[in-house]
Amino acid sequence: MRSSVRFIRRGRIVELSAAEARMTLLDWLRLRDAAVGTKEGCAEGDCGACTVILARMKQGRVVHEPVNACILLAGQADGAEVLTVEDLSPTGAVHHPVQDAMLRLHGSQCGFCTPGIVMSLAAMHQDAPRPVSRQAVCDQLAGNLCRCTGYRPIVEAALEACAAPQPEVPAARGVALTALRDEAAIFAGNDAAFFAAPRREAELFDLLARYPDALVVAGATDAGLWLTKALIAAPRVIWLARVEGLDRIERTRTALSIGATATVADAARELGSLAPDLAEVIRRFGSTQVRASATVGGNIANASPIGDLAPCLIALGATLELAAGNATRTLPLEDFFVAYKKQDRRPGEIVRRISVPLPDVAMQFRAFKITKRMDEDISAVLGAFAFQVDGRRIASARVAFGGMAGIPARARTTEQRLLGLDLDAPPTWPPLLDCLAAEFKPLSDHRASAEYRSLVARNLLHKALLEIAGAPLSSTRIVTHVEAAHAGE
Amino acid sequence: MPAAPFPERERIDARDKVLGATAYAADIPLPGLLYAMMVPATTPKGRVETVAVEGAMQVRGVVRVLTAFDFPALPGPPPTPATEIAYRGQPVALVVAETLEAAIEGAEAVRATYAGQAFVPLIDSPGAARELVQPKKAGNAQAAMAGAATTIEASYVSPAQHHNPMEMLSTTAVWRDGKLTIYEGTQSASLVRANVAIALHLDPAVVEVKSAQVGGAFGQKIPLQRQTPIVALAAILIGRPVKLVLPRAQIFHNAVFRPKSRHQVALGADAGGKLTAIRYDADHQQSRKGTLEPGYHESPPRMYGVADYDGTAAHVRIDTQDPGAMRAPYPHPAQFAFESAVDELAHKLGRDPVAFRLAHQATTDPISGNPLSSCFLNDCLTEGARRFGWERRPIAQGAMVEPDGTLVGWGVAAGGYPANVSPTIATLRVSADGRTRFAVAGHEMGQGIRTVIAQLLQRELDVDPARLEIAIGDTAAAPQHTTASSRGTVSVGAAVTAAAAKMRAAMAELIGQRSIAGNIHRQLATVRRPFLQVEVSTLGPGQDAGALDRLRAGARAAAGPEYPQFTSFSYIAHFVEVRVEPSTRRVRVPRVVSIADCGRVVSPRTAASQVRGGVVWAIGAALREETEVDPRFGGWLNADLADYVVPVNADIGDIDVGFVDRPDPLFNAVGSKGLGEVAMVGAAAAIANAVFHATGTRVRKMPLRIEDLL
Ligand SMILES: Cc1cc2nc3c(=O)[nH]c(=O)nc-3n(C[C@H](O)[C@H](O)[C@H](O)COP(=O)(O)OP(=O)(O)OC[C@H]3O[C@@H](n4cnc5c(N)ncnc54)[C@H](O)[C@@H]3O)c2cc1C
Ligand code: FES
Ligand code: FES
Repeated sequence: MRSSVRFIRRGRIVELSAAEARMTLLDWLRLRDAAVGTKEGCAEGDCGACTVILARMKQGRVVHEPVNACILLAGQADGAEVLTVEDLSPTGAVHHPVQDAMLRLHGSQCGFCTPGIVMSLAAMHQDAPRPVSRQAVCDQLAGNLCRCTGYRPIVEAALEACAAPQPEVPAARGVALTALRDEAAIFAGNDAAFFAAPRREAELFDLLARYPDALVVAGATDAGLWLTKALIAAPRVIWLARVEGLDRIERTRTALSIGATATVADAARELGSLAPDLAEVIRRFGSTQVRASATVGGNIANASPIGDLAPCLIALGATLELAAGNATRTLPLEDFFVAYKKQDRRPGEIVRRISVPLPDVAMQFRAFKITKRMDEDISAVLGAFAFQVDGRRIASARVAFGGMAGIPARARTTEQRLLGLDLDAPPTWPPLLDCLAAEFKPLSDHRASAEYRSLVARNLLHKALLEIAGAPLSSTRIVTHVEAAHAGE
Repeated sequence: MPAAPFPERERIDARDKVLGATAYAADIPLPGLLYAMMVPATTPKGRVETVAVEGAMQVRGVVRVLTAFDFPALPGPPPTPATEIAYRGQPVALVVAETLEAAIEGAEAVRATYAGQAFVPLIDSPGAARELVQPKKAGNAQAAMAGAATTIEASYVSPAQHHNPMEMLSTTAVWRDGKLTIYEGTQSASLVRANVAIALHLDPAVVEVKSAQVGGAFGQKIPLQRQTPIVALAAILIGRPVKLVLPRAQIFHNAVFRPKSRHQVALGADAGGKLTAIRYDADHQQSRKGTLEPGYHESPPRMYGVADYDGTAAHVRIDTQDPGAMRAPYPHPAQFAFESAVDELAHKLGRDPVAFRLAHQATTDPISGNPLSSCFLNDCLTEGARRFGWERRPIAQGAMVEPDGTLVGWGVAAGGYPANVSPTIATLRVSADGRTRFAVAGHEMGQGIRTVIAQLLQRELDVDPARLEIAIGDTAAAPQHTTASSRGTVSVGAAVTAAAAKMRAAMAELIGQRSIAGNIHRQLATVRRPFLQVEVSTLGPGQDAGALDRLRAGARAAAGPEYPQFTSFSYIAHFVEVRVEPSTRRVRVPRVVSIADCGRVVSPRTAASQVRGGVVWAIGAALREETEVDPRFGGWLNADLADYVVPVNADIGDIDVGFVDRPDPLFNAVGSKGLGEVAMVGAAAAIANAVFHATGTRVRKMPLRIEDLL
């Protein structure tokens, strides 16, 4: 058992008390470490001004992940090296290639967004395989807002900096990170106020039983907001990410199984390989920073009606494994969602893993995420469709939506009506499409009106059918590098 | 087009910015610093009856809680906590603590009770009070309209919006040895100084305001910020430095915002298809005591040389916080309406919208009767059309369709923005040891004013650029104008020219007939003169010394766009391609060409960036940005960056920027007119016009929502 959180900062090992571990990493940096180069622009994960890099050992190599320090608890940096804008060129004399390119190509005006943008791009410069495409740069920048420049000089700077070969990771970094590694559970603090990070599931369940009111966090991309925005008091925090094996991603002959604490970024490849549209939804899930922290389990467990993964995974027929103590149970993912913010989850139970059956060749999957802006935006509507096609007819259908009800939900009546649908007879489709409207009573909010949601849901189903019937992919669909990579398969 | 006469070069403050070494107001380290958090009112209108602070005082680390009862009573709308609540979110108390955590916890523990009152949340709610202001008229629009062969009339709406610069509002105040120093991001350091002095009954001489680097402003930081005197008083009462950073949601509720505005436009054309009459009635959302004028008649009369103009304007007073100027405050919404209407008229006349505009070269200002100092709008239109490939545009709507059903549309619109200028007072000191210090008014908010000063100064004088200090945004260095309305560059440009001339004269006098080698520093060293210092003041065309007094007092001192002999405007033309996706009706803007007439371009890099940034703002405004009032409770619904959607990189396509780059002959010696604001003007209308061309649907409100295109 370890009684403090530890990470590396500027060559030293920093030990955090329970109180410090529960601060946001941004507050810790600015208030305790006097590292004010990192900025606060929103304190809710939206603007990227607070982006810092966490360098960690993953699968035997050092990875550099840009994260939003404003919604990350300092304790979540345990085991990592924390790099900020000041660390890229410590003497100020020799600039990091990203800084140099930003300088020469005028990527900075008021400069308030600049440190965060520099860190996002520095992470990419270090870890991205070459060549780095414009699309990849744009994806990397999805989580960084700039109100001044109009972005183009920043994109140009990124492309220029990343035109150079990928740099070596300083050997000392790997050595230091390896030396920092241990197998201990963390419990910093006391009964009244603590930051705990169990190492084994049994320890986790003990803690959950002992402290049923503790705030459980995985990536904290939702929970961090409760702290910074809703200003809830959370003296007891249990962090899931150190629990061994809970983040494992496995592929068997029949299913892909994803551990709850696998980050969306780490699961992206495997999930994306199931269907190109799922890859595209994940590409547009939050931002690089959000995906680096957000977990797949958290995206399900938070029971948001507008979470992106749930409708996709429901359409794909996923099952959910829940665990408490020694008891484990499995249920179809859609059954987990009972009503708005109410799930089939018992006290002390955690989401352990999600299993997705591998689609066969006859399966056609489509998913469309509709948002106000292109990137880093919560969905107004997300439609996910999985059809088994037999010849030119629909043999089975699973249709799920986010944003159309208080929970991610299947359109069961529509699914029934779609059976036997003739892909070559579009004139016969409208009554089936109309059926959707009767199934959902969406809400109006500032993201979209109820009428718009209903109409778009119908249009999305229509679009999915048209596409699998053989219409060309609409050219307004952004073809991503991921999609392009799959095109030849 | 003529080549730009000024070279491309690095922005002088960019190095520190990319290194993370630039210190914004909230970054300044101070020993003994205390942290503050504000407690917002939870009622939209009423009176504070009690504020219980005991709970907060019990939180460990809380030092003091300030409420309305700590402040001097003042007539007029107080900038301090008040017992009269005029809007939801108004400050009720300030909790000051040793740590930020304690300040937050303390703020949560403050309990206020209110006597609530009925409130009016929306401009179309019952109880909204309409208040007409002075109309703007020229010629006889009524007669011209009556005689018109073709007319159109339509009404347009521009929404409430918040500036949302990336830097949050913050104030840090230090009280030491009877002097108050305020560090905050502001566009008007002298105004802040004057108003804090009034609010706290202090002699302005003991107040200094420092705003060396501002993390974006766009008008939000023009007026006195609500929190500033509150934090200042806390520092004075406690005797230690106090810092407050407002959370984003509190900024939404306390900062000024772009008011919602409504625009009724009627245009008339004669039998020859010439625009002859304009009638334009505008009104906007206003607080009960707010002063932002409904000045929407700035640009429309100065675009197309129409002699007969009839404009009215009104406030619509409701219960909200004070609105304020936001980037291109009047011309952006006004030109959205006016340029949409021009498009509607051209359409009705069956004319190409570019050719129609080109036929209306403006030379005089109908309002003042004076000539326009320069108007190269037609050059903007011609060059833009060439770069965009406009001649390939089919005139019919819905004529460009991709195989997958995507509708493509091309639109054009123009913008104009007043050329303003501030008087300046500046000090230039050149030293024998190689240093140069230039102290002048101006705030660096990202527009690159420091770079412009450095460029001009180096052109005028052989000073060492490596040891050049530009002291701006500091009331201790020079009286500070409000850096807004694109007048910063123009104003300091005049100051640099004047100071350099005076310095050259002083050098000539010092050196006399001798011929001495080396740059100005070497020359001073050779004649054993440690330094030379000159002080200059400049005035706008037609201004007298009274303007300098107003400048010193932190009052409004700027002039323009109407000067005694002429009227001066910057112009721009935007060409836009939109694509409307068939199943979702999502609108994308893959391509924009914008050509500006801002007179002489001083710093090509910063100028192009300014235009690109302005166009991005227009894309945001046209398609997404709106702050929505919660009519049930007052206040704003989408008060964060997750739900107030500013454009992200993926929303932005290719923006090609060009300049006419012809000097204005009358406005000032440099020949430049101002750019930051005109950049965005008209681009929203160009988008709406392109959407009409793509779909045949005319959307007359911003933001244009996908719902509108179903
Ligand atoms: C800027 C921003 C953009 C975003 N964009 C998107 C988006 O595009 N699409 C989208 O779907 N979401 C988005 N989100 C929401 C969020 O990132 C996701 O829902 C994320 O997957 C949550 O995972 P987490 O690990 O961060 O959860 P946390 O915040 O750590 O936890 C959320 C909740 O789930 C519980 N929980 C977490 N893991 C488990 C578990 N294994 N067992 C039981 N309970 C658990 C926690 O106790 C907590 O109540 C965005 C968030 C931000 C801040
Ligand atoms: S401060 Fe905006 S994302 Fe962190
Ligand atoms: S440079 Fe100002 S926000 Fe990006």
